Amino acid sequence: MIRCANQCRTLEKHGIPVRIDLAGVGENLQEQLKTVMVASTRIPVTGTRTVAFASAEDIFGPSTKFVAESIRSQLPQYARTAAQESNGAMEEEDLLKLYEIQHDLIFSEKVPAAEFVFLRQDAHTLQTGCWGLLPFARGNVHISSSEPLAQPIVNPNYGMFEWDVQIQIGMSRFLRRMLRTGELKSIMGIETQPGFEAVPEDASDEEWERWIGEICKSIPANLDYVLSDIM
Amino acid sequence: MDEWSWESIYPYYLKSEGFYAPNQTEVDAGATFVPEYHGLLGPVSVGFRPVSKGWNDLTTAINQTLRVMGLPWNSDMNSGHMRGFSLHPYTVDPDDIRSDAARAYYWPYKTRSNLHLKLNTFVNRLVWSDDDRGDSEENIRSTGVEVQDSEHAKPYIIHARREVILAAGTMRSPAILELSGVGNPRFAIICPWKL
Repeated sequence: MIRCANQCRTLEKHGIPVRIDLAGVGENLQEQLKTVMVASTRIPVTGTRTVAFASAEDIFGPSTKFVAESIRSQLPQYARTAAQESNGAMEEEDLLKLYEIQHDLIFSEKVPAAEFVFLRQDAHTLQTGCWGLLPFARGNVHISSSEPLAQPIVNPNYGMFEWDVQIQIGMSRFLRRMLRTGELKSIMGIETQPGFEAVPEDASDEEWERWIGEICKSIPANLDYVLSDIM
Repeated sequence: MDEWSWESIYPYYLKSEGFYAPNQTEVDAGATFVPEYHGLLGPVSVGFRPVSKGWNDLTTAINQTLRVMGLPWNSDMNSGHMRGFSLHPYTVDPDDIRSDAARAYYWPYKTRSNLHLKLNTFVNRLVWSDDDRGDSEENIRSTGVEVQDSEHAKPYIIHARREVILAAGTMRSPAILELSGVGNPRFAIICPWKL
Protein backbone atom coordinates (compact mmCIF):
# COMPACT_ATOMS: atom_id res chain seq x y z
CA MET A 1 0.00 0.00 0.00
CA ILE A 2 1.30 3.42 -0.88
CA ARG A 3 0.44 6.17 1.59
CA CYS A 4 0.74 9.79 0.75
CA ALA A 5 0.63 13.03 2.73
CA ASN A 6 -2.07 13.39 5.34
CA GLN A 7 -2.74 16.62 7.21
CA CYS A 8 -5.02 17.15 10.15
CA ARG A 9 -7.22 20.05 10.98
CA THR A 10 -9.93 21.11 13.36
CA LEU A 11 -12.33 24.01 13.59
CA GLU A 12 -11.54 24.57 17.24
CA LYS A 13 -7.84 24.48 16.52
CA HIS A 14 -8.27 27.39 14.11
CA GLY A 15 -10.42 29.33 16.53
CA ILE A 16 -13.59 29.04 14.44
CA PRO A 17 -16.79 28.70 16.51
CA VAL A 18 -18.66 25.54 15.56
CA ARG A 19 -22.13 26.34 14.22
CA ILE A 20 -23.08 22.97 12.71
CA ASP A 21 -21.38 19.74 13.73
CA LEU A 22 -21.09 17.93 10.38
CA ALA A 23 -18.33 15.35 10.19
CA GLY A 24 -18.73 14.73 6.45
CA VAL A 25 -17.52 18.18 5.38
CA GLY A 26 -14.43 17.77 3.24
CA GLU A 27 -14.43 13.97 3.42
CA ASN A 28 -15.12 11.24 0.85
CA LEU A 29 -12.95 12.88 -1.81
CA GLN A 30 -12.56 10.60 -4.80
CA GLU A 31 -9.70 11.51 -7.09
CA GLN A 32 -8.36 9.46 -9.99
CA LEU A 33 -4.67 8.64 -10.00
CA LYS A 34 -2.88 9.35 -13.27
CA THR A 35 0.42 7.94 -14.48
CA VAL A 36 2.03 9.03 -17.74
CA MET A 37 4.05 6.93 -20.15
CA VAL A 38 5.94 8.39 -23.10
CA ALA A 39 7.32 6.64 -26.16
CA SER A 40 9.11 7.81 -29.30
CA THR A 41 8.09 6.85 -32.83
CA ARG A 42 10.32 5.57 -35.60
CA ILE A 43 8.57 7.65 -38.25
CA PRO A 44 6.90 11.08 -38.04
CA VAL A 45 3.26 10.68 -37.06
CA THR A 46 0.16 12.85 -37.26
CA GLY A 47 -3.14 12.69 -35.42
CA THR A 48 -5.19 14.36 -32.75
CA ARG A 49 -5.96 13.47 -29.14
CA THR A 50 -7.97 10.27 -28.70
CA VAL A 51 -9.23 8.30 -25.75
CA ALA A 52 -9.84 4.66 -24.86
CA PHE A 53 -11.93 3.34 -21.99
CA ALA A 54 -11.29 -0.23 -20.90
CA SER A 55 -12.89 -2.56 -18.38
CA ALA A 56 -10.96 -4.52 -15.75
CA GLU A 57 -11.46 -7.56 -17.95
CA ASP A 58 -9.85 -5.77 -20.90
CA ILE A 59 -6.86 -4.89 -18.72
CA PHE A 60 -6.32 -8.12 -16.80
CA GLY A 61 -7.52 -10.67 -19.37
CA PRO A 62 -7.31 -14.25 -18.08
CA SER A 63 -6.20 -13.02 -14.63
CA THR A 64 -9.39 -10.99 -14.11
CA LYS A 65 -11.20 -13.62 -12.03
CA PHE A 66 -8.18 -13.96 -9.74
CA VAL A 67 -7.89 -10.19 -9.37
CA ALA A 68 -11.62 -9.86 -8.68
CA GLU A 69 -11.53 -12.47 -5.91
CA SER A 70 -8.40 -10.99 -4.40
CA ILE A 71 -9.85 -7.49 -4.28
CA ARG A 72 -13.18 -8.74 -2.92
CA SER A 73 -11.36 -10.36 -0.02
CA GLN A 74 -9.65 -7.04 0.71
CA LEU A 75 -12.84 -4.96 0.87
CA PRO A 76 -13.40 -5.31 4.63
CA GLN A 77 -9.88 -3.99 5.25
CA TYR A 78 -10.46 -1.12 2.80
CA ALA A 79 -13.69 -0.23 4.62
CA ARG A 80 -12.02 -0.34 8.02
CA THR A 81 -9.09 1.85 6.93
CA ALA A 82 -11.20 4.38 5.03
CA ALA A 83 -13.55 4.70 8.01
CA GLN A 84 -10.64 5.31 10.36
CA GLU A 85 -9.17 7.87 7.95
CA SER A 86 -12.45 9.76 7.77
CA ASN A 87 -12.47 10.89 11.40
CA GLY A 88 -15.98 9.69 12.09
CA ALA A 89 -17.48 10.93 8.82
CA MET A 90 -18.07 7.44 7.47
CA GLU A 91 -18.98 4.18 9.15
CA GLU A 92 -17.13 0.99 8.29
CA GLU A 93 -20.32 -0.96 7.47
CA ASP A 94 -21.62 1.76 5.16
CA LEU A 95 -18.30 1.92 3.36
CA LEU A 96 -18.27 -1.85 2.95
CA LYS A 97 -21.71 -1.74 1.28
CA LEU A 98 -20.55 1.01 -1.05
CA TYR A 99 -17.34 -0.84 -1.82
CA GLU A 100 -19.27 -4.02 -2.65
CA ILE A 101 -21.39 -2.07 -5.13
CA GLN A 102 -18.23 -0.57 -6.60
CA HIS A 103 -16.66 -4.03 -6.89
CA ASP A 104 -19.76 -5.30 -8.73
CA LEU A 105 -19.61 -2.38 -11.13
CA ILE A 106 -15.97 -3.09 -11.92
CA PHE A 107 -16.04 -6.90 -12.17
CA SER A 108 -19.67 -7.90 -12.86
CA GLU A 109 -21.10 -4.94 -14.76
CA LYS A 110 -17.65 -4.42 -16.30
CA VAL A 111 -17.93 -0.66 -16.49
CA PRO A 112 -14.77 1.07 -17.69
CA ALA A 113 -12.16 1.07 -14.93
CA ALA A 114 -9.28 2.43 -17.01
CA GLU A 115 -8.89 5.45 -19.24
CA PHE A 116 -6.06 6.02 -21.72
CA VAL A 117 -5.62 9.50 -23.16
CA PHE A 118 -3.37 9.40 -26.23
CA LEU A 119 -1.60 12.67 -26.96
CA ARG A 120 0.66 13.23 -29.94
CA GLN A 121 3.20 15.45 -28.20
CA ASP A 122 5.08 16.06 -31.46
CA ALA A 123 5.82 14.23 -34.70
CA HIS A 124 7.98 11.68 -32.88
CA THR A 125 6.39 11.40 -29.45
CA LEU A 126 3.31 9.67 -28.10
CA GLN A 127 2.35 10.57 -24.54
CA THR A 128 -0.30 8.42 -22.86
CA GLY A 129 -2.08 9.36 -19.66
CA CYS A 130 -3.31 6.32 -17.73
CA TRP A 131 -6.17 7.06 -15.35
CA GLY A 132 -7.53 4.51 -12.89
CA LEU A 133 -11.19 5.51 -12.96
CA LEU A 134 -12.62 3.83 -9.87
CA PRO A 135 -10.17 3.90 -6.98
CA PHE A 136 -11.22 2.69 -3.56
CA ALA A 137 -9.15 5.43 -1.96
CA ARG A 138 -11.06 8.16 -0.17
CA GLY A 139 -9.34 11.45 0.54
CA ASN A 140 -10.31 14.79 1.98
CA VAL A 141 -10.08 18.58 1.68
CA HIS A 142 -9.72 20.79 4.76
CA ILE A 143 -8.63 24.30 5.64
CA SER A 144 -5.10 24.78 6.89
CA SER A 145 -5.86 28.00 8.77
CA SER A 146 -8.65 30.45 9.49
CA GLU A 147 -7.33 32.77 6.77
CA PRO A 148 -9.92 32.66 3.92
CA LEU A 149 -7.36 33.32 1.19
CA ALA A 150 -5.15 30.41 2.24
CA GLN A 151 -5.29 27.35 0.00
CA PRO A 152 -7.12 24.41 1.52
CA ILE A 153 -5.08 21.24 1.96
CA VAL A 154 -6.16 18.64 -0.59
CA ASN A 155 -5.29 15.06 0.37
CA PRO A 156 -6.31 12.60 -2.36
CA ASN A 157 -4.78 9.56 -0.61
CA TYR A 158 -3.45 8.33 -3.95
CA GLY A 159 -2.57 4.66 -3.94
CA MET A 160 -4.23 4.15 -0.56
CA PHE A 161 -5.41 0.63 -1.43
CA GLU A 162 -3.97 -2.24 -3.44
CA TRP A 163 -6.59 -2.04 -6.21
CA ASP A 164 -5.70 1.58 -6.89
CA VAL A 165 -2.11 0.55 -7.60
CA GLN A 166 -3.00 -2.73 -9.36
CA ILE A 167 -5.10 -0.97 -11.99
CA GLN A 168 -2.26 1.45 -12.75
CA ILE A 169 0.15 -1.49 -13.11
CA GLY A 170 -2.35 -3.31 -15.31
CA MET A 171 -2.76 -0.27 -17.54
CA SER A 172 1.00 0.20 -17.82
CA ARG A 173 1.49 -3.43 -18.90
CA PHE A 174 -1.47 -3.16 -21.30
CA LEU A 175 0.06 -0.07 -22.87
CA ARG A 176 3.45 -1.71 -23.33
CA ARG A 177 1.72 -4.65 -25.02
CA MET A 178 -0.29 -2.26 -27.16
CA LEU A 179 2.77 -0.49 -28.53
CA ARG A 180 4.11 -3.89 -29.65
CA THR A 181 0.88 -4.93 -31.38
CA GLY A 182 -0.73 -4.45 -34.79
CA GLU A 183 -0.08 -1.30 -36.78
CA LEU A 184 1.46 0.47 -33.79
CA LYS A 185 4.26 -2.08 -33.71
CA SER A 186 5.82 -0.74 -36.88
CA ILE A 187 5.40 2.88 -35.81
CA MET A 188 6.58 2.90 -32.21
CA GLY A 189 10.21 3.20 -31.16
CA ILE A 190 11.47 3.15 -27.58
CA GLU A 191 9.78 3.93 -24.29
CA THR A 192 11.28 7.05 -22.76
CA GLN A 193 9.08 7.30 -19.66
CA PRO A 194 9.47 5.41 -17.44
CA GLY A 195 11.79 3.53 -19.79
CA PHE A 196 13.16 0.02 -19.37
CA GLU A 197 15.98 1.21 -17.13
CA ALA A 198 13.60 2.64 -14.56
CA VAL A 199 11.06 -0.17 -14.95
CA PRO A 200 12.35 -3.32 -16.72
CA GLU A 201 10.43 -4.66 -19.69
CA ASP A 202 9.07 -7.61 -17.72
CA ALA A 203 8.98 -5.80 -14.40
CA SER A 204 7.39 -7.34 -11.33
CA ASP A 205 4.49 -5.73 -9.48
CA GLU A 206 6.93 -4.44 -6.88
CA GLU A 207 9.07 -2.69 -9.50
CA TRP A 208 6.01 -1.02 -11.02
CA GLU A 209 4.75 -0.11 -7.56
CA ARG A 210 7.99 1.70 -6.82
CA TRP A 211 7.57 3.91 -9.91
CA ILE A 212 3.89 4.56 -9.16
CA GLY A 213 4.74 5.38 -5.56
CA GLU A 214 7.17 8.06 -6.69
CA ILE A 215 4.46 9.64 -8.79
CA CYS A 216 2.02 9.58 -5.86
CA LYS A 217 4.51 11.39 -3.68
CA SER A 218 5.50 13.92 -6.31
CA ILE A 219 1.97 15.25 -6.79
CA PRO A 220 1.78 18.19 -4.37
CA ALA A 221 -0.76 17.87 -1.58
CA ASN A 222 -2.06 21.31 -2.47
CA LEU A 223 -3.48 20.78 -5.93
CA ASP A 224 -4.22 23.44 -8.49
CA TYR A 225 -6.05 21.79 -11.33
CA VAL A 226 -5.32 22.92 -14.84
CA LEU A 227 -8.46 22.08 -16.80
CA SER A 228 -6.69 21.96 -20.13
CA ASP A 229 -4.79 18.95 -18.90
CA ILE A 230 -7.83 16.83 -18.18
CA MET A 231 -10.25 17.93 -20.91
CA MET B 1 -36.37 15.01 -9.93
CA ASP B 2 -36.78 12.04 -7.65
CA GLU B 3 -33.30 10.63 -7.80
CA TRP B 4 -29.79 11.15 -9.10
CA SER B 5 -29.91 8.50 -11.82
CA TRP B 6 -28.88 8.42 -15.46
CA GLU B 7 -32.54 8.41 -16.52
CA SER B 8 -33.55 11.40 -14.44
CA ILE B 9 -30.53 13.60 -15.24
CA TYR B 10 -29.90 12.67 -18.90
CA PRO B 11 -32.67 14.94 -20.27
CA TYR B 12 -30.88 17.93 -18.71
CA TYR B 13 -27.61 17.03 -20.37
CA LEU B 14 -29.43 17.01 -23.70
CA LYS B 15 -31.13 20.29 -22.80
CA SER B 16 -27.81 21.97 -22.06
CA GLU B 17 -26.08 20.86 -25.26
CA GLY B 18 -25.88 22.66 -28.61
CA PHE B 19 -24.14 20.04 -30.76
CA TYR B 20 -22.47 20.82 -34.10
CA ALA B 21 -21.90 17.85 -36.36
CA PRO B 22 -18.36 17.29 -37.71
CA ASN B 23 -17.49 18.47 -41.22
CA GLN B 24 -16.22 16.09 -43.89
CA THR B 25 -12.54 16.65 -43.06
CA GLU B 26 -13.18 15.82 -39.43
CA VAL B 27 -15.20 12.76 -40.40
CA ASP B 28 -12.32 11.60 -42.61
CA ALA B 29 -10.00 12.03 -39.63
CA GLY B 30 -12.19 9.69 -37.59
CA ALA B 31 -14.90 11.84 -35.99
CA THR B 32 -18.12 9.87 -35.54
CA PHE B 33 -21.33 10.56 -33.62
CA VAL B 34 -24.84 9.25 -33.09
CA PRO B 35 -27.45 12.05 -33.36
CA GLU B 36 -29.85 10.64 -30.77
CA TYR B 37 -27.29 11.20 -28.00
CA HIS B 38 -27.03 14.93 -28.59
CA GLY B 39 -29.06 18.08 -27.94
CA LEU B 40 -29.10 20.74 -30.64
CA LEU B 41 -30.62 23.76 -28.93
CA GLY B 42 -28.78 24.13 -25.65
CA PRO B 43 -26.36 26.92 -24.61
CA VAL B 44 -23.22 24.78 -24.24
CA SER B 45 -21.61 24.31 -27.65
CA VAL B 46 -20.21 20.85 -28.34
CA GLY B 47 -18.30 19.87 -31.45
CA PHE B 48 -15.10 18.51 -32.87
CA ARG B 49 -11.85 20.44 -32.89
CA PRO B 50 -10.33 21.10 -36.31
CA VAL B 51 -8.55 17.93 -37.33
CA SER B 52 -7.49 16.39 -40.60
CA LYS B 53 -5.97 13.05 -41.43
CA GLY B 54 -2.29 13.18 -42.30
CA TRP B 55 0.45 10.69 -43.05
CA ASN B 56 1.12 7.93 -40.52
CA ASP B 57 -2.08 8.78 -38.69
CA LEU B 58 -1.96 7.65 -35.07
CA THR B 59 -5.74 7.39 -34.75
CA THR B 60 -5.89 4.78 -37.50
CA ALA B 61 -2.99 2.80 -36.08
CA ILE B 62 -4.25 2.89 -32.49
CA ASN B 63 -7.74 1.90 -33.66
CA GLN B 64 -6.44 -1.13 -35.54
CA THR B 65 -4.17 -2.18 -32.68
CA LEU B 66 -6.88 -1.90 -30.05
CA ARG B 67 -9.29 -3.83 -32.26
CA VAL B 68 -6.74 -6.65 -32.46
CA MET B 69 -6.55 -6.54 -28.65
CA GLY B 70 -10.34 -6.76 -28.31
CA LEU B 71 -11.23 -3.11 -27.70
CA PRO B 72 -13.50 -1.81 -30.48
CA TRP B 73 -14.19 1.67 -31.87
CA ASN B 74 -16.93 3.48 -29.94
CA SER B 75 -18.94 5.66 -32.31
CA ASP B 76 -20.32 7.90 -29.57
CA MET B 77 -19.42 7.76 -25.88
CA ASN B 78 -22.20 10.21 -25.05
CA SER B 79 -24.55 7.24 -25.12
CA GLY B 80 -23.29 6.51 -21.63
CA HIS B 81 -21.58 3.31 -22.80
CA MET B 82 -17.99 4.40 -22.81
CA ARG B 83 -16.02 1.22 -23.39
CA GLY B 84 -13.93 1.45 -26.52
CA PHE B 85 -11.71 3.82 -28.49
CA SER B 86 -12.87 7.16 -29.79
CA LEU B 87 -12.02 10.54 -31.23
CA HIS B 88 -14.27 12.59 -29.00
CA PRO B 89 -15.92 16.02 -29.23
CA TYR B 90 -15.14 18.97 -26.95
CA THR B 91 -17.10 21.84 -25.49
CA VAL B 92 -16.14 24.17 -28.34
CA ASP B 93 -18.15 26.22 -30.84
CA PRO B 94 -17.68 26.03 -34.64
CA ASP B 95 -14.87 28.61 -34.39
CA ASP B 96 -13.03 26.29 -31.98
CA ILE B 97 -13.62 28.73 -29.10
CA ARG B 98 -14.17 26.95 -25.81
CA SER B 99 -17.78 27.10 -24.65
CA ASP B 100 -17.12 28.04 -21.04
CA ALA B 101 -19.61 28.98 -18.31
CA ALA B 102 -19.44 32.69 -19.14
CA ARG B 103 -20.08 32.17 -22.85
CA ALA B 104 -22.84 29.65 -22.34
CA TYR B 105 -24.63 31.02 -19.29
CA TYR B 106 -23.62 34.61 -18.58
CA TRP B 107 -22.98 36.80 -21.65
CA PRO B 108 -26.30 35.99 -23.37
CA TYR B 109 -28.21 36.84 -20.19
CA LYS B 110 -26.18 39.61 -18.55
CA THR B 111 -28.84 42.27 -19.02
CA ARG B 112 -31.32 40.43 -16.79
CA SER B 113 -32.30 42.79 -13.99
CA ASN B 114 -32.16 40.03 -11.38
CA LEU B 115 -28.68 38.81 -12.35
CA HIS B 116 -25.59 40.48 -10.88
CA LEU B 117 -22.07 39.20 -11.32
CA LYS B 118 -19.37 40.42 -8.96
CA LEU B 119 -15.92 39.86 -10.39
CA ASN B 120 -12.69 39.81 -8.37
CA THR B 121 -14.78 39.27 -5.25
CA PHE B 122 -13.77 36.53 -2.84
CA VAL B 123 -16.14 34.76 -0.44
CA ASN B 124 -14.68 34.48 3.06
CA ARG B 125 -17.55 32.69 4.80
CA LEU B 126 -21.29 32.25 5.11
CA VAL B 127 -23.10 34.64 7.43
CA TRP B 128 -25.64 33.20 9.87
CA SER B 129 -29.06 34.57 10.85
CA ASP B 130 -28.19 34.66 14.48
CA ASP B 131 -24.49 35.22 14.71
CA ASP B 132 -24.91 36.87 18.10
CA ARG B 133 -27.63 34.72 19.56
CA GLY B 134 -26.09 31.30 18.93
CA ASP B 135 -29.28 29.53 17.82
CA SER B 136 -29.43 25.76 17.77
CA GLU B 137 -28.49 23.87 14.63
CA GLU B 138 -32.16 23.36 13.67
CA ASN B 139 -32.92 27.10 13.60
CA ILE B 140 -29.78 28.30 11.94
CA ARG B 141 -30.08 29.91 8.51
CA SER B 142 -27.58 31.55 6.18
CA THR B 143 -28.50 35.16 5.49
CA GLY B 144 -25.64 36.07 3.21
CA VAL B 145 -21.94 35.90 2.55
CA GLU B 146 -18.99 37.88 3.78
CA VAL B 147 -16.77 38.90 0.87
CA GLN B 148 -13.63 40.86 0.19
CA ASP B 149 -12.50 42.70 -2.93
CA SER B 150 -9.76 45.14 -3.90
CA GLU B 151 -12.11 48.13 -3.99
CA HIS B 152 -13.07 47.93 -0.32
CA ALA B 153 -10.59 48.22 2.51
CA LYS B 154 -12.53 45.80 4.71
CA PRO B 155 -14.61 42.68 4.08
CA TYR B 156 -18.35 43.37 3.75
CA ILE B 157 -21.54 41.41 3.70
CA ILE B 158 -23.82 40.70 0.76
CA HIS B 159 -27.24 39.88 2.20
CA ALA B 160 -29.54 37.17 0.84
CA ARG B 161 -33.26 37.70 0.99
CA ARG B 162 -34.17 34.13 0.18
CA GLU B 163 -31.29 31.66 0.17
CA VAL B 164 -27.59 31.17 -0.36
CA ILE B 165 -26.44 28.49 -2.78
CA LEU B 166 -22.86 27.35 -2.22
CA ALA B 167 -21.33 25.95 -5.40
CA ALA B 168 -17.62 26.60 -5.11
CA GLY B 169 -16.38 23.22 -6.29
CA THR B 170 -14.84 20.21 -4.60
CA MET B 171 -11.95 22.12 -3.15
CA ARG B 172 -13.48 25.41 -2.06
CA SER B 173 -16.97 24.46 -0.84
CA PRO B 174 -15.62 22.41 2.09
CA ALA B 175 -13.21 25.23 2.92
CA ILE B 176 -15.96 27.87 2.94
CA LEU B 177 -18.13 25.61 5.09
CA GLU B 178 -15.34 25.06 7.59
CA LEU B 179 -14.52 28.76 7.71
CA SER B 180 -18.22 29.29 8.44
CA GLY B 181 -18.15 26.89 11.38
CA VAL B 182 -19.64 23.89 9.59
CA GLY B 183 -17.61 20.71 9.88
CA ASN B 184 -15.92 18.29 12.21
CA PRO B 185 -14.99 20.02 15.47
CA ARG B 186 -12.84 17.30 16.94
CA PHE B 187 -10.31 14.71 15.80
CA ALA B 188 -8.52 11.78 17.30
CA ILE B 189 -5.52 11.81 14.96
CA ILE B 190 -2.22 13.08 16.27
CA CYS B 191 -0.97 15.49 13.65
CA PRO B 192 2.65 14.83 12.74
CA TRP B 193 3.03 18.17 10.95
CA LYS B 194 2.82 21.61 12.52
CA LEU B 195 0.26 23.86 10.90
